[in-house]
Parts: sequence; structure tokens; C-alpha cells
Amino acid sequence: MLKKLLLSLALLVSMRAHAITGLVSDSDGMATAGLVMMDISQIVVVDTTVYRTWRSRTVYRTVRVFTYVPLFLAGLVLLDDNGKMTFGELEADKASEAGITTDEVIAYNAELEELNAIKDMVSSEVAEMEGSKEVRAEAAKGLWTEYKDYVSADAFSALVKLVKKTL
Amino acid sequence: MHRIFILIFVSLFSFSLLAKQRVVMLVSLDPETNRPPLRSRNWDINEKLEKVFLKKLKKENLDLVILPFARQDELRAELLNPNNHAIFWVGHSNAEAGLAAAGIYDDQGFNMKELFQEVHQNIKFLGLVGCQALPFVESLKNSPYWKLNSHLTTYAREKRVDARKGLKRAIKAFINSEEGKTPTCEEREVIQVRVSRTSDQELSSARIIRKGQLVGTFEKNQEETTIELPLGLKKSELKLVLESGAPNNTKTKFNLGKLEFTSENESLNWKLFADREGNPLGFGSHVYRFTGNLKEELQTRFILPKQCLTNN
Repeated sequence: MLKKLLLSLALLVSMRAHAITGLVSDSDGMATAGLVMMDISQIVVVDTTVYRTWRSRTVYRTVRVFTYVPLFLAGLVLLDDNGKMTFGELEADKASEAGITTDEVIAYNAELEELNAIKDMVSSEVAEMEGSKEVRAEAAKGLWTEYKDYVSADAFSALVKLVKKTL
Repeated sequence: MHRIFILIFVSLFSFSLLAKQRVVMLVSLDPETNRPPLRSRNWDINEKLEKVFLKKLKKENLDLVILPFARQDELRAELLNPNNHAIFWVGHSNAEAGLAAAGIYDDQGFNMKELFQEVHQNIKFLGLVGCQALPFVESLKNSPYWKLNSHLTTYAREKRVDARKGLKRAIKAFINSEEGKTPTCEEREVIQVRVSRTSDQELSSARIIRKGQLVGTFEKNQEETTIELPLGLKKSELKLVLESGAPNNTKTKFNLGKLEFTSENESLNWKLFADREGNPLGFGSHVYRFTGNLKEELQTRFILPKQCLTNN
């Protein structure tokens, strides 16, 4: 039952991620994943298995915790190289849908080139990394944390809200 | 003596009438990654496209030029070559979708799209053979960039296209195209800024973009260029991006160099967007923030747009 639930969630996320990522490269997808992970609280899914060994009467209970990460990443496997994700100018209607404040819109639009530069940097660094998608997305999160101080807090907040909304 | 001059004049005049129109096909496809399944290693997309191009246009009495593995420098030169009559570009492309920006790519995956903003007025036909290139062409038609190219006939498709089929269709559209009236070209008042770049390594081709608009280019190893900025811009609109078009996962080495700006307007200054150690932040593109002031009256110049210049 739990597997089915996870699978359906993964598929759901996969479809939504497909919608945003379209043709963007794998590393761009990872960069976005890292960005979203900075903000999304860990969504915890607990998988409990109860079993007992034939030697003892003790009941062992294993608890596996799935965070949002593997679910999210399930959607980012697709990607081909013929597209680069670029954040564009934010319009008022789209901003209000995403809950972005007026100050954040102004800051975001004023620092768009810098946000894209940082995104490209995160994406290129992630592209060179070895390891699973989870590991690379975690690394992307770390890089966003490192670089976000080079743009204003409002601009960064708008970016996170925008990406979340697009997902 | 007079007769000799008349003879020379008449012969030059007849020669110009007989001169063939230059039609250029730029192909930017890697044969290794653009080979259909179950074909031998000798199967080369560039050769196939060349064959189609020459076969379909041989009866048209044209000066046919084919440039394989075309990249920024070749594309820029041909788009602004006043001797060109038609340009065909064959390469990968994609439409804007969600957060993915539109792209027209060379064989190394570098995005060339901004270069198409400046097309010489003498060019009457532009065929973009690539997947979903039509929305990009439509956006150029509706933008101020092609104000001087309203007579330009274009070919592009909204769907995915096969390279050879797409080229055949583009050639057909070119043969059936009719010439429109060329818009008048006038001088415009601009602020000129000289941009130089330095590096101890080989410099890559790059372009300078302001708010999505192409304002200048650097050829490979070119160290100096002049950019033109329109009047009446706010400080926030003067941010410049030195762009290579490189994909984030590229294995191709490139080096943009570090820019320095000089101008007859000393109040104009830009500063590299960099980390605390002074290293540029960005990959494939570097951002230069405007740090000057616009309070002083700026020196301007009247120049003809590149789309109208007769010497290349």
C-alpha cells in the first residue's frame, strides 16, 4: 500500500517536474531541486514493518523515513541537453499567484541576471559531481546556501516562491 | 581615353547585373550524435545536407556557400554580411517552455539565439531549420530588433523537424518567396562604450547583452569591441551580461576574460558581479553591474545600425 502511495506521489511529482523542466538539462533540474529543498520542510513518510525472528519472541519494528527529496527527484530523470533553464522577468499576476510581495518582485526583477548567474553556477558545479541524484540535490542546496548572500533576501525569497509555485 | 572609361564602367555595370546572389547555409550539427540508428560510421549529416542544398538550388543561378560546424563567429559574420541574399541555419533548437528558455544551438550546445537579433537588410530570406523554432522567429518579428527587417521572409516550424526534410521545405519557401520593400535605414543617436577584455589564456567568442538585447560581440581572441547603448536608460537597465551561450554541463573549455570599460563619458562604469575573492559569479556568462551615474549630460554619437552598413 505504501509503495503504491509512494509510486503515485512520485509519478505526480514526475509529471509536475516534467512540466517545468521540459527540455532543461539534468544539472539545471538538480539546481532547482536544491533550491526547493532550501525551503520545503521535510515531508516525512513513515514506512513501518513489524517482524519477529524465529529465534526470539521480540518484535522488531523498522521505521524508514522518506523525506520529500526522493519523491521530488523521481521527476527529474527525464531531461535532454537541448534546453537551459532561465528565470525570466516576473509579472504582477504571476507574482501574486505565488504569494510574492511587491518588494520581492522589484528585487527579483532588478537582480534577475545575478540570480541566473548563480543558478548557472550551481547547475554547472552539480553537473560535474558524481553520486546519486539525492547527493547532488543536497550539494545543490549547499551551494545555494553559500551563494544566496550575494543577492538580496527579497530577490532570493521571490525566486524560491516562484520555483515552488511553478512546481 | 573616354572610351576606355566608358568601357570599364559598362563592364562593371554588366558584371554587377550578372553577379550571382550569395546564399549561405550554416550547419552546426555533430555527425556523431546526429546519426540515425543502424547507419554506418561513414553516414554524415553534414554531407547529406550539403547534397540536398546543392541539388535543390543548382538551377537557381546562385552563389552557394556551405559552412559546416558553424559557430558564433561564422554566424555573426554571415548575418551581417551585406553580400548575402539568403541564410539557412540548420541546428538544434527548442521553444520556450516553462522555465526553459528558447534556444538555437551550435554543434557544441552553445546557445546562439541573441545573434539573430541583428540581420543585415540585404538579406531577404532567413530559414531556421530546427525543432520548434517558429515561436522564436515570431518573437523576433514582433520585437523592435527586426524593425529594419520587416521585408525579411522567414521559414521556421512549430513542430519537431527532420534536418533534411526541414531543409527541403525551407528551400522551397525560399524559392517561392517574394521580395518586400526594404525599410529606410536612418542614423541613430547612441552612447558608445569601448570594451576591452584581458586574460592570460585563449579568449572565447562571446556577446554582450543588455536586458536580453545584443549590444556587442567578441570574436574568438578579440580583445576589444565597441558597444552602443540607447539613450534614456535607467541605471537598472544598464546592467551588462557577457554571454558565451554555454550549456551548464558543457565539457568544452571556454574563457570569457575580464572586461574593462572606457568611454568619452567618464561617469559610466561597470563592476563585475563577483565573490569576496573577486572571482566572477556565474558559469557561461558574467554579469557587470552598472556603478556609474547618469546625472551628467552624456556625449552621444550618430551612427548607422549594423544592419545597414555596406562594408563588413
